[in-house]
Amino acid sequence: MTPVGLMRSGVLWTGAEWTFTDIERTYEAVERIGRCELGLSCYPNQIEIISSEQMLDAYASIGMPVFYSHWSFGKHFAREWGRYKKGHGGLAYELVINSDPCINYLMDGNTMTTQALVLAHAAMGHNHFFRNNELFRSWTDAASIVDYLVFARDYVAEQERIRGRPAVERFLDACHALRDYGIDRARRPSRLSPARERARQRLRDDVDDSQVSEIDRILPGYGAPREARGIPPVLAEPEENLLYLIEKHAPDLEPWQRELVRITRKMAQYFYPQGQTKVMNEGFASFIHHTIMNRLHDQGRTTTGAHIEFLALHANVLFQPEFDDPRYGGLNPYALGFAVFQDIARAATAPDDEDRTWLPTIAGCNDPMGAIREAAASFRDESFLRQYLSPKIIRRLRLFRLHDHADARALEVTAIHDERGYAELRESIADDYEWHANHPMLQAVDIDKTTRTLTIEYRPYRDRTLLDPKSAFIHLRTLWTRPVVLRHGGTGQTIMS
Amino acid sequence: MSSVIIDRRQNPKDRSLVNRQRFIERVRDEVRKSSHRVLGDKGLHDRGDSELTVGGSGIAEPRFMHDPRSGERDLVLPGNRQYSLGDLIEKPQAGGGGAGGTQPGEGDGDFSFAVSHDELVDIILEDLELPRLLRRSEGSVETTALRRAGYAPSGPPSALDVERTMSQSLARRIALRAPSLARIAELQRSREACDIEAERAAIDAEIARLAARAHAIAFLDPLDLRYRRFERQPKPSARAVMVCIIDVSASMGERERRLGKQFFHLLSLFLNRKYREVDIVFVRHHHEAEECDEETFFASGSTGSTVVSTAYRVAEAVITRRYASEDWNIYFAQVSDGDNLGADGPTCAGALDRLLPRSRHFAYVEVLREGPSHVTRTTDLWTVLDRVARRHPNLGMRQVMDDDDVVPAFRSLFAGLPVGAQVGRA
Repeated sequence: MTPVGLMRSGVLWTGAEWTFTDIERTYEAVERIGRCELGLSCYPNQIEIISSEQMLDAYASIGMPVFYSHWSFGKHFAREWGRYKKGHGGLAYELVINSDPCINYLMDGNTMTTQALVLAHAAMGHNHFFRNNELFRSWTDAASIVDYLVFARDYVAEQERIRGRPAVERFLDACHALRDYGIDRARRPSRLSPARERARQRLRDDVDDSQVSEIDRILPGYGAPREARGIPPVLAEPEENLLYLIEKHAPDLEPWQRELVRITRKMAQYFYPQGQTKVMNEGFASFIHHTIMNRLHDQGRTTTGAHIEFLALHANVLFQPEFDDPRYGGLNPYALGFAVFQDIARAATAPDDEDRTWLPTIAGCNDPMGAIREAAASFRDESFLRQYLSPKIIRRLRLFRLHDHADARALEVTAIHDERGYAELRESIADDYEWHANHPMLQAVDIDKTTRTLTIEYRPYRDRTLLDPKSAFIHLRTLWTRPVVLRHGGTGQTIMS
Repeated sequence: MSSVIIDRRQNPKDRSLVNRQRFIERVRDEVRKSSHRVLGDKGLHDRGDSELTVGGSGIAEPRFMHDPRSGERDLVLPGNRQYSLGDLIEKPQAGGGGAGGTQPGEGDGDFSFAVSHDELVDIILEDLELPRLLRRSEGSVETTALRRAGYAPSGPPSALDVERTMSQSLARRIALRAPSLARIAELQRSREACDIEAERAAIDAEIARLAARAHAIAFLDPLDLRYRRFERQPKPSARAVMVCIIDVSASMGERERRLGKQFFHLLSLFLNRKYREVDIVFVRHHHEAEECDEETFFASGSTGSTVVSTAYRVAEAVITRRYASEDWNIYFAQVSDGDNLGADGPTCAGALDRLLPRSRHFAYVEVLREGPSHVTRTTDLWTVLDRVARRHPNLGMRQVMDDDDVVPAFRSLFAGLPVGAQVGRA
């Protein structure tokens, strides 16, 4: 072990190769800056060294350390592996799990500078974000996610053994198609507890096995709880969480099928905040790694060579190609988020008149880290950009807006980075991060009392139509087990049945 | 904030493998269809990855999505240099709407991915019912090897297994309740420590009893002896040579050579599975024959008439010179369009009569002319070989027309259908 005196000062590492001691020592230095100087409060970190193949594997299982087996993960793995081998799209340097303790993956092929960057970015930045952002606090349960994943994996494996793999895979295919419709966006979900899940699921098996839905019709007053008997309620109000509705009320599902619906729903719930905070989360983590790495260099703890390597990595990650660049693939969430957080820090300490108009809550507050932590805690991408995207950033990125209408032959420029355009651009960008801009809005509006036909209404967002909904609709019908009607919410026309 | 560092690099990689196998299983049929086409493009010695493409339906992951071409939307883009408010920009032609950043089709269209050479071979050979093939083509075996086969109660002294024998002895002594020497020694000690005369006498008696019993039960009995047993096992020889013969006369076009290459490829994969060492000899011919390298072998042909027996002669010379020893398993694979000089027939038959007894299998693949009459037409070479096949059951003959015929032809050649039966296209 390195003596304490040495650990507190001096260069942390030299050269590209890393050792476990380097990582330990660097983590300690990074953590001290994060905690003492930036006021971060993180979950304990679990840092795992993995190979590039394991990293790809983790990607393919949507980044989770444990996951049930499914062919679609193999497909994603095959794609990533192909891309990786061909040399496009290098692997991300980091992968971090929203769990307590927070699991950080470091790839063994990384240079030590990259490892340091990842420690600052993920083990400090993302970790603090997971622990403090309101959306994560409400919608996910970091302490029990890994246990729940183990439960899910074992349950799926067990069902495959009992029912045969094709049946389980086919049913999961259907569940996956409805993944985006398993989220309670309006109310806080209940906490996950694997022990409770198991107990609940046993109870369901007991109750359901004795009750076929045919019997329900004959004996409507049967003593079991309404939910377990699968009697559909008259929908008091439209239901957005289709998987919830299916789990509780689909007429002819078997208990194990309801459980798979529930697992899909719980996973969707867990990932919901990640999709809603991409810009903020990456922006915040980038801001944190940038600050920490610069501090380390100021303290004389990194060599100039290492610092230059870091700056190159940083510039790479934050690269924003312009719209007519062949590399353009949308706004880079790292770049956008980083720009906003950096702007918050600037406006907090050195505001000008524009900041006082556009960022009134933080301009000149003189507590940059306080303002940043507050921003990271209380928003999601959409509200964050609405609140903090300033004219300075709009000018720097030279943002402009095009209006695209399906019937029009040309795109119209409807805002540019000028006095008239700032507010409009800010609103439009924020709108793009709204859930409904990216996910068609479907609601269950009716369940027929006798036929149990489920009516789903599509509420179009800005006159969009559904892109070939047939295959997804077939999956929906599989899950409901009775007829389903997909209706256009505006015109009332049946889209599919 | 505490932390732990864990090294996971040695963890098993089974998770990705399981999911990957499931994925490949899911697309197996389609993969097979494209995989033997991949063989047509690969060199026979190429062990690199191959790119396979499969259609979307079986592996689509449908979701409800907005149609990006419908309705209206606002795009906010970075990097404005020239546009002012109210400017109109022509929509880009190729759908999608310019730089909207729509991801390339998830689930729609074709999906390409890489498979390693071993995976490819697995996929193809599984299709060929490999185990059956192995048994069938094992043939007679000349060499045998000794192989361990458990233990026997008798045998030569050199094969005595001491450990086994001692454990037998121990088991017998325990079963017969033989007193342990340790127990006797313990009694001895307690006797010396004992002051009371009567007790000492009792201990002495006990010791005497135990000693007598120990003496009566043999430490090592002939019953205990165990010998290592060996069996003679037939040992298939581990080396094979595959002689590829191809007709490169003008009548053999691009299609013929591609089909031929696929067939040779299958055979080489198959032999590589079966034998530790596989040599490949390439012989090409028109009215003359020569041994050549792989590249020349598949390169385009030359003009001239066709005299097949020249190739047999070259092949025979190569075999005699380089592969004469008993432990070479010799396979022939010939691809031709069936054209041959009429007068060459008897010479061919004679050459084959010499070659066939020396070889495990001779596979003759005739690429049919494109055209309506191909099924009924019998070529010169086919007629000759058909007659030879009646004398030599290890000559197999098949006709192929296009890519989809190659694998079935290969399988039927090696899977024990009546030799010489003329299998038309399915």
